[in-house]
Amino acid sequence: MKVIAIPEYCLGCALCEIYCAAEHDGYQGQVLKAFKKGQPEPRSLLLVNGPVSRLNTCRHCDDAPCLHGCISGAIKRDEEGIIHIDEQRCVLCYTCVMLCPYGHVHPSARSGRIIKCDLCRDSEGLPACVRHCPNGALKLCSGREEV
Amino acid sequence: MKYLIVGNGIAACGAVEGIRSKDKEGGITIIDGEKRGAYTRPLISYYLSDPHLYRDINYRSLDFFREQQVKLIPARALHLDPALKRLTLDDGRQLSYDKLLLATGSTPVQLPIPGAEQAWVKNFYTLQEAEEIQDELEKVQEVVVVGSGLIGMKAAEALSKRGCSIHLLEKESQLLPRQLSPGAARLLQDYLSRQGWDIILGEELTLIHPDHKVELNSHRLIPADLVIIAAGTRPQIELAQEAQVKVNRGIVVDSYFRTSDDNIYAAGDVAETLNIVSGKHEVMALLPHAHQEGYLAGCNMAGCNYPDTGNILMNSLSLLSWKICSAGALEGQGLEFLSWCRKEQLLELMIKDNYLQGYIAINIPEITGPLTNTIRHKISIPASKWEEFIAEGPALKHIPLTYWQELRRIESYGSN
Repeated sequence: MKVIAIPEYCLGCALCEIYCAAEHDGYQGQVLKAFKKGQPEPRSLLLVNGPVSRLNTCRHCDDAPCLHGCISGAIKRDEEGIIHIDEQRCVLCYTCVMLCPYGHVHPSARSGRIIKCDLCRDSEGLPACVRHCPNGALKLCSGREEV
Repeated sequence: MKYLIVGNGIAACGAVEGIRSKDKEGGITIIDGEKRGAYTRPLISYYLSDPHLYRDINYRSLDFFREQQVKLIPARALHLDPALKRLTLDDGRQLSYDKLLLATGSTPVQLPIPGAEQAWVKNFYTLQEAEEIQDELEKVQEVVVVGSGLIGMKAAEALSKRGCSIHLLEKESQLLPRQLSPGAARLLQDYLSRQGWDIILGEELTLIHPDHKVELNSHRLIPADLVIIAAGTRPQIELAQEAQVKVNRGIVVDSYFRTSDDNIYAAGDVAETLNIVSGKHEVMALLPHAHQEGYLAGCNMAGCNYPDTGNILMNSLSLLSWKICSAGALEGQGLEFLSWCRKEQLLELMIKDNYLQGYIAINIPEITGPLTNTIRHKISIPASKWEEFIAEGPALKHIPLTYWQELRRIESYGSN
């Protein structure tokens, strides 16, 4: 399972980043609370290069380099196939960062801790980025489907 | 099928997962020579820096071995007889096997320095050594670390966090000679000197005096309550050697991790595997590779034919607040160098004939994933594109478009 980004449909509005950030760190999707009072951090970042933009999100790879490479056992795959980080075990060695082919697993600019897409596994329904994309540029797919 | 694994490190854990992905029934026995369970060796420096926070450095828990139905035997393997397919342990027990994996890892290189036998001269390789240092730490102020490789650096960092004064000795003319260029090493050296580390380059230890002083070849004397010898590691090949399994520096394996004996496999730090950049089989003692190799070897022991596609040298080192990543070949004939530096950030790219061969990235980790994989997958990108990437200020959004296109074609990752 993963979120697929379709660059042709992406407007570059970055609502995906905003709702991603608001869905995590206990903000429960409350955008105002997150951005007015908190320090929200999107897990997936919008990559904008000239006119082309797309959300750089996690593929939750079968043969996941970050998972193989994690030295402390902090990176785990749950029963739904979602690769996520156990922050208690992470020692911030950044091996996963230098292994991720997509440059998606990355350090938070604010805290330095490792953050990545967890497909909003702690909340109900579709991932927040997919739910709030205004132009259908993001979709959740489960098979080998690629664009 | 009876599987026997000698060693209980990362490759062994990978092998258990590999075997069990194919064979749920066969008996798996692990010989745990260190008798400490499967822990993550690089985490012993974290343990030493904060023994309370990092008291659990297990790589896989006992539950894991129970769930995978693995029998753990805390003993050392003494003798391997490939003809009888029998392994003898130091407690006298003899075990037979159908398939055996040598995952014996590596061991520190010992230096023939007079005085090195004293109790306050230690390696920093096992959890036991880290615990011994922790137990004696109250009496330690001055620490001499011999060797500025990854192990020496992490030992020095842990001890500096615990309030010790660090004297770091490197016989070559720069820090981290395997991981950094001279320029990158100077940047790091300036930073560490500002943190109060005493860094001594181009000198070797000649004598360790019983009255807590060490002597260098320049005859300089340094006070030392603790000496840590971190002068590199070598593969533990003795068991293989004695069993007439083919060895060079490490154990020789084919691309299925089979040794010269059909029923004996080897993986992890002890095996020589394909370095994609050099095209040669080398010992690449790195944790991520150990897991992957162990996994593939395990699958193959259970009847699969999964070839190893090779790997590259890579290291990510967190040192105090710095993040140092390097990968691939940092020197060699015909390499073109591109570099970028801003305050405490540095990026160096090594390129040959449109192929990225290596990189060094200091305090700019977020771009390293695509760089590592450009090398690993031999993605052809002209140097001019990398010049543009650097000119715009190295950022993920400026990674050459070709990379993303090729990655989509490779599709070996996102195929779930």
